[in-house]
Amino acid sequence: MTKARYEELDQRQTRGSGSVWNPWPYTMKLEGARGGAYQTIMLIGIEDPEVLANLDAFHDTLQAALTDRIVKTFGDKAGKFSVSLRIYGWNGTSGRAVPAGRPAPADVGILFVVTATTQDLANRMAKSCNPYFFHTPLRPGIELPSYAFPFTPAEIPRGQLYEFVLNHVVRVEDAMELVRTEWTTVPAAGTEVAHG
Amino acid sequence: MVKICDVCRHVRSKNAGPFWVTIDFFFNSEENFRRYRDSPELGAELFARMFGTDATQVKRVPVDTLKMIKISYPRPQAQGWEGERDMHSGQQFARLLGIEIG
Repeated sequence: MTKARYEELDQRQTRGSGSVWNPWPYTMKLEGARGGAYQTIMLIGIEDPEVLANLDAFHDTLQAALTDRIVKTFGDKAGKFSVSLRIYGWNGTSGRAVPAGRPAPADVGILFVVTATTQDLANRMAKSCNPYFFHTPLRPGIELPSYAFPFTPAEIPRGQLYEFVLNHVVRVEDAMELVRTEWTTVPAAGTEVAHG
Repeated sequence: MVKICDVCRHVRSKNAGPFWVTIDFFFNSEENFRRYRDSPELGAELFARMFGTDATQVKRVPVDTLKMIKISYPRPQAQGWEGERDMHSGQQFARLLGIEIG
């Protein structure tokens, strides 16, 4: 590919040419994933202008309240867990710090993601966080707000995490060396097939 | 100060397998392409700073005939990790647009 040449022909077309085929010992690429922890998610919407004007502080307050709730409710039985809050409409896509002076948005969605060792634990953690996610005030002492849950029950089991863990190149004598082949005879068009 | 979005007509990002991200910078003129083709402002350090990647592994491939540079870097965590926010890395380019490059 080092000799490949790409040329712009017009607004839509590109010509690729010049790539060279070099015989090389045959290799096969292996990528693999393994099943890991489990997640449950919840979503709220917020239009309260006071919260919208203080989203970073609100994020930190909520993060502390929810983590504390899980620790106090589950204790050692919580195992390895994490709570992630993503404020869409503010910095949810990247999670990066927002530069000072950015104007407050008119509406945000906050995605709650709890990750735990089993689906049952993740579900129960979400349930125990539910009232806190729904009602945590911006500051202590003010009337308890109710944020906008789009559905009820609020918690959605999201299933297991699969993480890529294998990235290898294997040298093989022959392209098919590690490949299993199963042959199936496909009946001619129009033939009745008994499924069993 | 000139920003990346001032010298490129298009910037895009995409996963390149589960362990790498690749970002394409299409420059808006031959002059700007020449100016930034090998410039340190678009060097490995920028990608280490913006994406938390290992600077020694960043790859930079200029394509002269298309006035573009392709830069690839390994993800700090593999695609689909527990804290994933951008499974296919399609929005990773956005944080670069406002970067000042001289």
